[in-house]
Amino acid sequence: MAYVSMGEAHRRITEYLNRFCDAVSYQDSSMLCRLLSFSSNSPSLLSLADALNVFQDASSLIRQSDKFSEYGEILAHLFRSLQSYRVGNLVEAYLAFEKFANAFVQEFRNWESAWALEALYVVCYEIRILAEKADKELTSNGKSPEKLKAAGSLLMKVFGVLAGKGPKRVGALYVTCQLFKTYFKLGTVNLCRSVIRSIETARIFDFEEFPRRDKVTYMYYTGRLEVFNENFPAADTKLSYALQHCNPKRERNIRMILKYLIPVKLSLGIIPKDELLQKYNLHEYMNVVQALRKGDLRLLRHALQEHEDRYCIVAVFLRSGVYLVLEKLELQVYQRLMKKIYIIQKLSDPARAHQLKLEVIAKALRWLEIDMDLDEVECIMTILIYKNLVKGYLAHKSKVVVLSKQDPFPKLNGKPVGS
Amino acid sequence: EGCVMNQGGNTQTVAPLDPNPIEKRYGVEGSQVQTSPYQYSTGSDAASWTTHSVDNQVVQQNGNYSNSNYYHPQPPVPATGNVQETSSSTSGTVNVAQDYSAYTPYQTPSDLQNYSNTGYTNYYSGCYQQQQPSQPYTQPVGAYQNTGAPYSSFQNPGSYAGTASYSGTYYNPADYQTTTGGYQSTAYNSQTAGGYVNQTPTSSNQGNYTSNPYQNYTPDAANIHSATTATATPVHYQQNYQQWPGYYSQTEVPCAPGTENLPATSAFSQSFPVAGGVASEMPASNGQPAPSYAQNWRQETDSSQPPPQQPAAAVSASNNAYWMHQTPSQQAHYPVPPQNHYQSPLETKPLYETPIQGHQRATYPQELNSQASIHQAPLGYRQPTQTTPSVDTQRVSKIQIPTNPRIASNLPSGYTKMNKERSPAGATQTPAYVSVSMSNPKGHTSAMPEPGTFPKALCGFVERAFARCKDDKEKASCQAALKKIITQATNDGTINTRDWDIEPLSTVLNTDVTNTESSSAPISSLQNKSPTRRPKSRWEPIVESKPFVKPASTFTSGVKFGGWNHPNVNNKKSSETFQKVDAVTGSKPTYFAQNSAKKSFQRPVKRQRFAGGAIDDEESSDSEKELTPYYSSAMSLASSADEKKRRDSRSKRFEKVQGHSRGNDIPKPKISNVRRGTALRLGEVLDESCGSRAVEDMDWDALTVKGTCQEIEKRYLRLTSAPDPTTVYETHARFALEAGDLTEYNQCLSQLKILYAEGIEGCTLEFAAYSLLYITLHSNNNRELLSSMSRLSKEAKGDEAVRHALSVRAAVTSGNYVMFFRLYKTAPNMNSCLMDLYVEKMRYKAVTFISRSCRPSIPVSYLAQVLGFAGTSSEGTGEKENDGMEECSEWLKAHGASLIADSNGDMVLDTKASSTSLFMPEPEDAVAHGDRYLDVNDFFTRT
Repeated sequence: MAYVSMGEAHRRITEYLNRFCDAVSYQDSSMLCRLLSFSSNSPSLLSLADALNVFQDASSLIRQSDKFSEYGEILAHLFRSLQSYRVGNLVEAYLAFEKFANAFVQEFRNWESAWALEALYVVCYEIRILAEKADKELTSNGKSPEKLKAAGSLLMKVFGVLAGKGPKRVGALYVTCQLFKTYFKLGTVNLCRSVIRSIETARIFDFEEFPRRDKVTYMYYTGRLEVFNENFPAADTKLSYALQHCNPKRERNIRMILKYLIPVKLSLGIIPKDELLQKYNLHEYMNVVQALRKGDLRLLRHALQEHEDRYCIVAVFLRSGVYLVLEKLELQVYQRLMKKIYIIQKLSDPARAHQLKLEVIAKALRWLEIDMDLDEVECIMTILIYKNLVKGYLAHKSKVVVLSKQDPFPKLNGKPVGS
Repeated sequence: EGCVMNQGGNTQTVAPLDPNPIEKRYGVEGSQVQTSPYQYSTGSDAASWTTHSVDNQVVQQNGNYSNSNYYHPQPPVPATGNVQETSSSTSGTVNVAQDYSAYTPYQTPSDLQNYSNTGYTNYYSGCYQQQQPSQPYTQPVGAYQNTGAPYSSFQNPGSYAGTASYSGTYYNPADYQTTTGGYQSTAYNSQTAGGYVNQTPTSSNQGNYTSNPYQNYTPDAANIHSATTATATPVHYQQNYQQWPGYYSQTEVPCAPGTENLPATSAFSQSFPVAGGVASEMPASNGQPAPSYAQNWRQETDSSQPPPQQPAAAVSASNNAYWMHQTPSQQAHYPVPPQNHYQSPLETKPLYETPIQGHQRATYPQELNSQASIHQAPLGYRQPTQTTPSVDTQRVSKIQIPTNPRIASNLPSGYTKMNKERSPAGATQTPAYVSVSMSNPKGHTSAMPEPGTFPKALCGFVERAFARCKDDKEKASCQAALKKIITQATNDGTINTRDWDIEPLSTVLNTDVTNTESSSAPISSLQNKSPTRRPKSRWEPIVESKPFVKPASTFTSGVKFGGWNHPNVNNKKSSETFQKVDAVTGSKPTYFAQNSAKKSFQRPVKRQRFAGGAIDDEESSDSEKELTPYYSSAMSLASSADEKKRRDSRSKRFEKVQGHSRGNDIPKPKISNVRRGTALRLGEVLDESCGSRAVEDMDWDALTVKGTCQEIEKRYLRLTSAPDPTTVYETHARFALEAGDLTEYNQCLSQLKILYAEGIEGCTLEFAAYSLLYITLHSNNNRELLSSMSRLSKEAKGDEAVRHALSVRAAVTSGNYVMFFRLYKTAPNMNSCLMDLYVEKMRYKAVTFISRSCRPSIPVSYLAQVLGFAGTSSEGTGEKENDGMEECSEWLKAHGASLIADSNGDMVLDTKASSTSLFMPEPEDAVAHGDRYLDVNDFFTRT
């Protein structure tokens, strides 16, 4: 930290105060955003923080002028937060920032136009980031992290300010997305429901009128929620929307979307091209896709088990929630395997190809190093027929699956298994 | 007669009323019970009087209406009551009832005392009746005297209830006096006061009828007379009532002078035959006795008072109604007592009532009725004239005075006990009681033999039966069954000879409960002796009530006797009094009554103890000489404060046993010497325990103690060291799993999670497996499942239980039922318990799959094997080769599957037919709470 003289500090602080007041009075949203964006670590903000630490009595400066004292509460909390942030006391910084945010939101409420929406976005973003950092600090100190939760409730308050009618409504989706991020991080996903309801039921405002960036984020998170609920068609719709509207240059975002969209598509019987996986570096799905193509049950199980230990990919699957989706692909792999057996039988004996002996299936599985007795094979076949992955019937007495002569292995074609 | 009628009517009505009234009665009973102690304390005489009246009132109240109803009746009563003299008696009873109700509320301030008094009175009434037979005159006199004293004392206390409750008649008089004074002064005076007065008179009448037929009767007669006079004067009940106090005094006076004693005796002699018949009937069935009573009443009434009563009834329907009520109530008391006891076991009050009722019943049938009728006739006539005017109060006092001479000794004690409930009066009272009690026992023995005595064993049986009862319903049914059994036994004369100890409770089932109650009642009574327990007993109706009930039920007559004796004993003795009294009176019922009284009013008991010493001696000499030595020793010992303490503690120890023994003894002594012997032994034991008799003196073989605790569950565990929290919770969770109680399990698990998070070691892997299974099978929360799976450490994944749980999860998510049931059979730890709860769903799923996929059919034997029916069936016969075919086919049928026989005759599942007919049966779903072995009722209570 460079040495800052008292006069220099005074100058910097006064300059910041002047800028802030000007930005508000001229409704200069971008300037205000710059003045508030902590996490940008902009040099001007850092130098201000240094000056504040030298010039301890900034509040007297604020009180000196009527121009400043109009926003005295906002600025005082902001300065205190910035001071703490600069010295690395993140919990203190968060607490002061929370007070600042409350005061700012109160002020924002009084502004009739929505000129300061961007500044409000910044506040919402900063408070979430600060809360996460503060929680990290708390955790490292052995205390229970609770700031993000507090930030969530503050964001909910902000959402309440925006969710009504009027021009400010446009900002609601951004806050919603910040709330999603908060809740997903906290693991309290169920809290999203009320926000979603208020977004989707409010017909006053067309969803398409929201900023694209917010729409994509919103669709991404709601799509993830649908994956949790195993509602694959809905998840497909939402994630596809997010993918289509996502800025193509944001590869990281695209990858994030694909991470969920691919398993969803797989479970609907749609297999991605390898190029896609390679382009977005989604190697963890390579084996899964391969197993589906080849009907290689062993490969699928391997993908879901071995990685678990070696690459922690399964841990990733588990954490992201796609594990259960991938697990359900097993039936499709079985279907593929049956189809292969059927095709091979057809080559050797077309007349009796539609009769799959359980013995044969068990043998095929044994080749895949999967030991199953006939009862279990019968059980699997029963499930396949029940789920309409195989058309036909099982003759228990003769231990044979009699396949339908017409389309014995119907494709899912975008429908979920068992529908 | 009016009194008798009332009683009879009460008894009769009771049966019908019982069901509904019971609750009311309970309430009433509560009051009665409370009052009863007073009666006891007041001395059997006074108590009996009051008790009778109280009982009647109570009964009436109970049987007739709820308290409010009672009140209501009163208002009408006054009108009609005034009109009809008989009605006045009836109305008197009604009024009494009302008054009581009123009293109870009023008394509430003094509640306990009053209540206890009432209860005692009831008991006393029973006691009186019994006693009266033997010493009716003396007792009545004493009672009268007592009443005189009580009056003053009662009045002083200002506790209407106390007075009212105390001696039905005597006390009532006192009450009346007091009431007259107090009532007038207070709000009571108005209608209530009138009602009180009337009631008291009526109550007194009733009381007289029942317990102190003589006294009561005289009072009753007085009441009746007054009623008649009232009719003549017919002003208003209130007026009459107010006058009643006077009447009472008057009535009492008349009674005391000649009518009571003489008439009573005469009446008794006369009535006895009738009563005997009645009594015999009564014992058989509590409810039944009523008719006999009614007959007695009728007869008596016919002879002595029939005209007045009948006229009254004729005069005003309301009066009739009152009569009816009263009679019903009385009847109700008879039947009710048992019922109450059975039902009420929970409530102490009911118990009290029942015992009281029982006492009353016994007395009623035997002597009281006849006496009452006689008394009433003469006395009533005289009194009415007197009472009508305001003179009544004066008369009352006068009457009381005259009566006092005989009962004087008793009364004082009673008063002391009644009034103050404590030593001062008690000491004075005791002597009187002693004398009274002495006489009473004899009288009881002679007069009461048939109805009253119930064997201890029977009491115990009843108690045990009631102890088995889980709720009121069961108790009610138990009561009914017990009644039946006891009635049967009484009818075929096996009641005393049968070995009730061996009698299987299963025979009673519901009835068993009643038996247990009765047995418990004695215990409770014994317990009541201890002051500390008294409050408990009051507030813990069940225990007390049960015991009381038993005595009442088992020994309606005997109980009554016992009640009589008890009051005396109680008055005279404290804790020992019970035993002694029993011995003395020979009627163990007294103990019950005392016990009950004690239970309800522990204080009274103490007082009784004071008096009891003297009484005991006398009584013991009278009834059971064997006991006397013990008693005497006990008495002497009891005299010292230390000894009392000791006895208290000891008696607490053996309360139950004593109660049983006493309860048993009471009936037995009168009826059979053998029983008495046992009772005596028990009494001895009790005495010893109380009086510090040498253990070596005991006939231990005769006192074989049998555990009475019917509860398997323990409310606490005795730990020898500080428990390890995880061990405790883990154990608890395992038990919860075993029982299929997922809620309980969840609670434990949440605690365990906290404990594990704090680094406390435990079976973390085992419970991680449970947790996985629970989430997989029961919570169906994917996110939770994912997070718990992602939290599993590598070590955890190597654990057998966790691996098993993960496999189960995979099987469930894929619907692999074959794998599921294989895992089910090989589940480690308690994993199978959690899987148990999913078996139903999995089977249904499997059958759904199969019926959709397999054609044309699938053998049931295959399903039985695949779906875990074979081999694993826990209901299995133990044969290793249980193919589970039967279970499987039953299960399939229950789920709508279509089963047919194939060409080989094997049972197969018609898959095509079944695919559309399968359904999840509701009950099966309900059992999805987990434990298919759980009783449905059990399940509902849990949820």
